[in-house]
Amino acid sequence: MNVTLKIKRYNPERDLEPHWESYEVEAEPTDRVLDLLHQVKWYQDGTLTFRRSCAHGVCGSDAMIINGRNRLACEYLIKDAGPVITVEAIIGLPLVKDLLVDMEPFWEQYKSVKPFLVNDDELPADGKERRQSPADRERYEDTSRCILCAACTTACPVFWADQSYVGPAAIVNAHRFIVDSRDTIKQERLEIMADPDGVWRCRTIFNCVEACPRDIKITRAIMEVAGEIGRAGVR
Amino acid sequence: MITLFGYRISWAQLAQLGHRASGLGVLLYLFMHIVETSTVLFGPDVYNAAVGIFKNLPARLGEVVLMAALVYHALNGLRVIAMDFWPSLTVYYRPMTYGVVSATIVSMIPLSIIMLRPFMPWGA
Repeated sequence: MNVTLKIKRYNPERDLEPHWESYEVEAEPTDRVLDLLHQVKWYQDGTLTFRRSCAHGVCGSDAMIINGRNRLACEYLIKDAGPVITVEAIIGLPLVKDLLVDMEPFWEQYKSVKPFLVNDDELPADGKERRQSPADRERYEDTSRCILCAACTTACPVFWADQSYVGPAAIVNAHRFIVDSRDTIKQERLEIMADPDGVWRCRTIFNCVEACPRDIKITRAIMEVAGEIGRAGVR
Repeated sequence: MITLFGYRISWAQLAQLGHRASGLGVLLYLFMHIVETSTVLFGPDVYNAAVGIFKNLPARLGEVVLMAALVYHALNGLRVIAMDFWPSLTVYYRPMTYGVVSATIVSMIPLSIIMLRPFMPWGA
C-alpha cells in the first residue's frame, strides 16, 4: 500500500520554526512506522534525524507523536495508523533536530527520585539474597516494567506547562522502590515525592496512561504514592 | 483529529478541561452574584433594579448553563476524589468519565425544563 508520511522537520542551522514535509512510501500493512522512517532516511533523505535502538519496543528510544498521540514508532503498525501518517517530536523537551529531543531534563527528573534499591543492612544469614514474599513482589510488578521512553511524561499537560514537575515516569520509578519491602529509605523517597513539584501536581488527566506503551497503570501508581505520603504523615 | 497544544485530545483530557472551565465559570458567577446582592446596601429600589436585569430569557439560559457547569463540576469532582481515595478505581477512568458526562446530561433535562418553564408559552 502507498502511505503518505508527514514528518515535522526542523534543522536548527536552517529553520526558524519546525515545518511539515511529506514523503510517499511503499509499505506492508504489518510494517511499523519505524520501518517507514527508515525508508525515508535510507532512500529519500539521509538528513532525517530520529532516535532508535532495539526497534522492538524494549529500549524506549523512539517515542514520538504519531497521528497526534505519543507512541513508540517501532510498535505502531501501518494497518492501525492508516494511509496518511503524521510524525513529530514529543512535546516538553528541548527539540534538537527533526524528531530528536534532548532527554537530559527527563533524566534529571528520573535521577532525582533515586531510582535504585537502598539497603545497607546486614546480609541475611545465608549471605545470598534479600527474600520477599510473592505478595510483596507483586506490589511493584506493574511499575517495574517502565522502559523510560518518556511517552508518559511528554504526554502530560502539566509537564508541558512546567518542566519542574517531576513527571509521571519519575513517579512510576519512585513507586517501584517505595513499595519494595527490601528498600530502607522509604521515608526519604516519600519526602522527595511530597515536594510541591512531586505527586501533588498530577491532575488526573490520564494522558500518561493512554500514552504508555507498556500499559502501566500510571495514575494508579501516582495515587498510591500520594496515599503512602498521607499515611506516613510526610509534609 | 482534534488537537490541543499539538496533541490529540482524549475524553479524559476533555473531562479535566471541562472541570477547569466549569470551575472558572462558577467562580465568575459567584463574583457577579456578590456584586448583584451587594446592591441591597443602596436600598430596595436599586436592589430590585439589579435583580430585574436577570429576569429575561437570555439570562435564564445563562443560568441553565451555570447549573450544567455546577452539576458537571460537582460530579467530576466526586470522580477525582474517589480515585484519590481508592487508587484501584483509576483503572476505570474511562467508564467513570462517560458516567459523569451522561449523568450531567440526564440530570440537566428535568432541570432545564423546570428552569425554563416560566418563559415557555405554557409556563406560569
